Amino acid sequence: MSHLDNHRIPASRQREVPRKGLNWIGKSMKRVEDPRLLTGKGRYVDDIILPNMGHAAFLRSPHAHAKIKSINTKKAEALEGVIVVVTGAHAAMVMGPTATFWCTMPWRWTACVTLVKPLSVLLPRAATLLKTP
Amino acid sequence: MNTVDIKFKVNGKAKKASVSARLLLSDFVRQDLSLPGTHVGCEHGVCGACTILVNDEPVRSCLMFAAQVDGCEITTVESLGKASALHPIQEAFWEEHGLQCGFCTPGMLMIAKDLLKRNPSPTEDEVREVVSDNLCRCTGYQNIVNSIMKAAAKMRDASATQSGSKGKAS
Repeated sequence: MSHLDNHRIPASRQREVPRKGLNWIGKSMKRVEDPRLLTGKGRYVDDIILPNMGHAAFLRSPHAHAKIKSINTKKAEALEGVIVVVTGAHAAMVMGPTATFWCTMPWRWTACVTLVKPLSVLLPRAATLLKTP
Repeated sequence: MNTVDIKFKVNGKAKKASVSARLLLSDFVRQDLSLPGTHVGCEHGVCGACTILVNDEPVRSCLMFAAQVDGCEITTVESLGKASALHPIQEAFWEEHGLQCGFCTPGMLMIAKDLLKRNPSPTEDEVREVVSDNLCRCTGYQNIVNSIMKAAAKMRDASATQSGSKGKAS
């Protein structure tokens, strides 16, 4: 009977001394985490609920490589339920640089929202934090 | 805000709810019904991670409003099997390594369930056609196709033995 025929993962054999009949080598192993993920019990970032949690909405640049002259946040700030509107200038004042997952050449200082010039249409220009309805 | 009163069945249990008219079915299932096994990937009907069955038909739950399921029967991934007693489709995905991160998996399981109900003996091309509905960004489509082919075989065997034992009994 193959280990794939029943759905039990055997206890670790790490404490056992090397011996003959190491019959797992060269065989596919079933993953321990799969039953959890297959039954909808996995937990992802979107599943985390914290007290006083808000939702963020991102305004994305309609143009790549356009220079941001100014962003008027007054109307957004006046809306009901808005906690804060963060632009690049705001972010640069209150926090340090963030990691980037895209290549910037030449190197440039990057905040969580774009400071001066969005490199692509996907980079956010401003973030609005909203109260959870 | 407009609210709508709805009555529906979710995974076999009858429920009532009063929902905001603009509430998406995906958010309703995840947050109000506390069934977070259904995942929201793109929220505009492209990725298929949020696929659930409404009246036994697969739907993108991010493209439906909760108010639309009044009188319907909803089936989510939570209905399939528990970790201790997996559904044959889930077993096959485990054995054939049909998932890596598991984010697209609930949607894949639901379209597989629908396919195997309509067609218990699909060809590999037919499985590929159905799997192309959903995106997997671990890009392991080959193993997903293998998993569904294996699940089809398992379910055919199970129904063959069942009908065989029924035949002997009668």
